[in-house]
Amino acid sequence: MKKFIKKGFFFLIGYLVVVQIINYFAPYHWGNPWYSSKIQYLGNNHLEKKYNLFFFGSSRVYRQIDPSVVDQVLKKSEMEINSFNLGSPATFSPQNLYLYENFLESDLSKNAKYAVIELASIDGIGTKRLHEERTYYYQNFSDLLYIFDSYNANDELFKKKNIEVYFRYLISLFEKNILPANFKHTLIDDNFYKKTYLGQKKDGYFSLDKELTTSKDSVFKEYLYKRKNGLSSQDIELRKNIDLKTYSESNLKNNKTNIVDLTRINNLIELSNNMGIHLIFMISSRATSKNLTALGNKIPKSNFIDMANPDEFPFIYSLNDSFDVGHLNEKGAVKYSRALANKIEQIIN
Amino acid sequence: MLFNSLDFAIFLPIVFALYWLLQKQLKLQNLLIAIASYIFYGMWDWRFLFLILFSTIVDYTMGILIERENQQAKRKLFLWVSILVNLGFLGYFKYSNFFLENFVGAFQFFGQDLNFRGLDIVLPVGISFYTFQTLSYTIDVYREKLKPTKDFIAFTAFVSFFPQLVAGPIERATHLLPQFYNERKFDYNFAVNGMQQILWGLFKKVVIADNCAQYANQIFNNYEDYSGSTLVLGAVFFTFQIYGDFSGYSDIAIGTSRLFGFDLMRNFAYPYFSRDIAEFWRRWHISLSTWFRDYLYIPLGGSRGGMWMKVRNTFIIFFVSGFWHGANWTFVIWGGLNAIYFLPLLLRGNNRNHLEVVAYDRWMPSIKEILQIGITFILTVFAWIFFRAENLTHAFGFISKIFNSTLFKLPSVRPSYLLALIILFLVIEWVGRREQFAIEAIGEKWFTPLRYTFYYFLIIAIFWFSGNQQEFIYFQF
Repeated sequence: MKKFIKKGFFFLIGYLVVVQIINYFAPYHWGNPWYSSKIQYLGNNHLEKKYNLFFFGSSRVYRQIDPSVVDQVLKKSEMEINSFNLGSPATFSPQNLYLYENFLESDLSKNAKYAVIELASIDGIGTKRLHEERTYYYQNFSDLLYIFDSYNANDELFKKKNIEVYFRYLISLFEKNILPANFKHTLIDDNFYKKTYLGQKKDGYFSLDKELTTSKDSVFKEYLYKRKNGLSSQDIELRKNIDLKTYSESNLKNNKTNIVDLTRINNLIELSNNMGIHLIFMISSRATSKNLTALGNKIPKSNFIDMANPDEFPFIYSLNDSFDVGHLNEKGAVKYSRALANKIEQIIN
Repeated sequence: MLFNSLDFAIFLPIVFALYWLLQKQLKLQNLLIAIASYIFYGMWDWRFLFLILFSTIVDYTMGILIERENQQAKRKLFLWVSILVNLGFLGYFKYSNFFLENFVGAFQFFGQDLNFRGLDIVLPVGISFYTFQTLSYTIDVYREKLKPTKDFIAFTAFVSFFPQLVAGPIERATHLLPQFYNERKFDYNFAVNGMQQILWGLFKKVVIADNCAQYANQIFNNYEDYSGSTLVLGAVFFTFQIYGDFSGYSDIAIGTSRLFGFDLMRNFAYPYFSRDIAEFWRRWHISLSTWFRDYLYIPLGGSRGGMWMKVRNTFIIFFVSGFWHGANWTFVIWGGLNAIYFLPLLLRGNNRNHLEVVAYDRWMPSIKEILQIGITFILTVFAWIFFRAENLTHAFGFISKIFNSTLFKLPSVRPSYLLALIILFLVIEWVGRREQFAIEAIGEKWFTPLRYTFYYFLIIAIFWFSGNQQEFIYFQF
């Protein structure tokens, strides 16, 4: 029996080595279809367009930051900015950090002068997204350890909810590194590309309003329609009150900053500086939390923008500027992008 | 739970670990097997656990009563109780609607419309297999080939043994039950052999069967839209689907049993390399064909009583075998067709040729053998059309569409990757045809890293092609 277990163990190790070797040499396959489309577009156009400001994050970036508005505002301050929105739905920590780190290693970062990353909590990976390539494509041991350390730093290591999260990350890591599902995509599938994901102006921004009116997917349209029509002023008011409370408590002394998250953020800032990129972390509208505000308070002022403060940006709680409970509509996005651009300008200058 | 599922991948190591921790505690090991098997079966549908438990209790009791009874009439009575209970369950769950529909159809034929709606009956998974397995027990006890067991746990474990519970091999009590009485010692070579067989079974099921199923289903379900040549290819895909599926399952069942120290009977022996139909039926679903031979053919008189008796009994076996597969006239026709194929060999006394595997002592078959294999394969493919078709109209429609001028056009569905896989599969099967399963001896004399590389290739292929998961065909029986 011992011989069987020992040989079985070495057989398994051998298999893992073989899969890692194949994964290493196989061309990279972007499992995130929005990011994949955008990164391929950039790959073909970055020399011509000379993009130098990049936004990373979730749908609160993808659907709310209009690069053309940002560029227009910054141009008034005589800054030659050409920005691109690399946001994609449900792209939270650590995926957004992974994407940025990958971006730094690529040729696309050569022209980059500024980058804005949405500050986000660790993605819980809902059951619907488990087993999808979108979820396992970015998994790696380093980020798995980061998740453990981050929860531990918050004294949340053994919370039931978080134990479920580890399990999902472990399954996703297993799927990427042990099942050849990942390199099957890398070896036989082209990277996903869909022009509509780039937005109407091909700058990566695609508002939910435009998606609703132009989408050919009737099921998705129906879903967006329900989200839009389901919004009430009470929902917005509730969210506003939560955020107001968060901000009122944000400066309390017992608010603990997650030192693991902060260390990673500071390391990224330093790495970016060494590459000549000014990295800014941003809290998006209606996406703040006690942890994020506490974290934001510790990030150097020149590397942090808070776009979620209800007192500073009352329009983000206006029903007229909202698409659904989490996102602004096109009108709101214009205001938001202008406000963001002003903040960026203050930091840069 | 399916063998090729994450659930089973978690279930098996846990049961394996617990099982060998209980080594030298035979009763506890058997109890663990019984509990694990009930959990395994209960994952399909827990309601049918009562059915298998009831069947177990009846046959356990009848076995003891048969042995205790001296009067032949009463012994026969107890045997018939077992037969009627088991076949009764099988008849009710599997054939009720078929008989009722045909009964109603007969009245309709004579102009009488009976207002009939089919019964809403769910077919318990594996019922055709475990009922035959337990019947073999009571029949062998009656024939005094086997002493009845007093160990209810061992008997329960025998009836419900999870590796072969839902799709065979249909084990004989004389072969499997005694293994539950004896201490099982972990044997490294036996276990490694089991792992190899599981691997090969998964390859056959996931890579060959499931991928062939995708195209077979597409072609069979839309046969009116395709050319004759495409329909032929569809039938060929189904031929490999059913072989990969069923023999793959058997390989996994046998391999899994070896991990627990059990030896199950062989169920497939490279049937598509058969040189005639008689050889095919000695190599296809061996556990079922030998069951029918021992418990139906021989009691009917077998080969005694002249040629007419032989022919009659042969046809009965093939028709019943067809009907066992499903409550549909297509299966009966499939059985009958095989009987027709078999008849010339029987009449000429050539049904016992080719007892060894083809080209046993050579690398390549002779031209004659290639022709024989080709003809047998074609006959088999043709018969599978009936097996796969939804009903007789579908079957005859499919066949009539084959035989027209479009038979000589290039097939419109030509998945080259699958054709390459089938060829590779046949090459591996050919190379390994002398072994219990194809990859048993492959790499035996190779350098370990090279042998491992071959296994890694199979594992990666299994995961690579696992996107088209299909249920095991024989679960529906």
